Amino acid sequence: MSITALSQGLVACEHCSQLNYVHTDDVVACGRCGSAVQRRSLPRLGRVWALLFSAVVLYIPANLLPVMTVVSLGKESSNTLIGGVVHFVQTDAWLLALVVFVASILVPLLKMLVLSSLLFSVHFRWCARLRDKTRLYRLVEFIGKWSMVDIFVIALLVALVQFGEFASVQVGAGSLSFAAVVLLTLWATADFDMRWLWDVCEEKEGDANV
Amino acid sequence: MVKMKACPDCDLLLEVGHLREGERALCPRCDAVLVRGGRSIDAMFALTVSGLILWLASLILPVLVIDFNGTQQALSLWQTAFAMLDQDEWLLALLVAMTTIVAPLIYLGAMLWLLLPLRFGRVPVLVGWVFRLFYANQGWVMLEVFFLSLLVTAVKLTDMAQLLPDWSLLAFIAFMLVMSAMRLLFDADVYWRAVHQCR
Repeated sequence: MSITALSQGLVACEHCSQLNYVHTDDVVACGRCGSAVQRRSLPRLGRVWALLFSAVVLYIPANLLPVMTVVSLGKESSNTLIGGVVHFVQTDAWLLALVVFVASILVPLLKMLVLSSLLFSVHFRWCARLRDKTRLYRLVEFIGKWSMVDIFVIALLVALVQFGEFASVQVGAGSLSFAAVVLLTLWATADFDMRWLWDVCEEKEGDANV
Repeated sequence: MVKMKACPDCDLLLEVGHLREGERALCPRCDAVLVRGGRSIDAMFALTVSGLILWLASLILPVLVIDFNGTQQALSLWQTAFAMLDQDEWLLALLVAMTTIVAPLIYLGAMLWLLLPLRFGRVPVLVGWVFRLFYANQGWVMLEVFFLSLLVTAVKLTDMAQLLPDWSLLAFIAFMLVMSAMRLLFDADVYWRAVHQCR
């Protein structure tokens, strides 16, 4: 069994990483920066599940509704997220198609899949490949904000393409849902604490040794 | 100097020796980065000042200039955030403004607040509070993502309008690089050691 900070009565401050002695279940102020520091007791999965579930629900309108509408000489054409990828494929812009596909389709899906599998792992004490699961969590943490590419592209197009009746771009209803998916998954990732799984598995290992 | 550290991802208790600039210490159990040998307070201060100047430059100067049948259109960060407001999409406008303008300014402002008094041998007022604000705000800075979006937009527009090269984009690129450098080089331990010496 490895020695963790928790087993020694120490809790690392999440802001400045200072170790603090916490003997009771009270919330104490970090000795260095004053942040609230508390012993991790049971994993609080409910909040993460709630955020994740909301993201999954909003992922549907984000993909079905148009994210923007291009009005050009009286003709309107609506674009969905996947439509943007298809457009780049048709015009042989493969690299761009890949970038947009990864940022707007793959990353949100990957985030939701990885997070729910991690939540299940904590709940059911699935302790296989802890190292790989931790790597996956760090990957999700890292790629999270890159889904914002679509929102920024729409913002840029809306601001740039304002040539009256020749061409203009309007924001579609899907983009708000998509922005919500990005934010909700970012918050769910931040709320999830990877140490929950390590704690649960230490405990399980301890039980097995008794 | 040996210091006890808990791994941020798996809570393993470890002893970490002193690191030189550019060195990293990894957790032996889960590979998380425990500590990065960060730069001095002076170096961080220099980056903060450059960051603030570049923030102002990239706010006003255009990041994209296009030519559409003879009509030229220049776009700054400021205008990008505000264009959404014209279509009553104020939530999206807020999100774009927050991630490209406001959060970087809070980041730099908090940094200046934390570093400037130290140079005069004083502990900053409300040091813990500003430090926590700095960390809470950090994740909202999305300049690299915005830069990728600029490239995607530029290619998207090629069949509709002509892209005009403009030097002012360099201000934004420099701004983005300075902000990334700060995130990599700021070391909370180096900072709190400096605060401790002033007390």
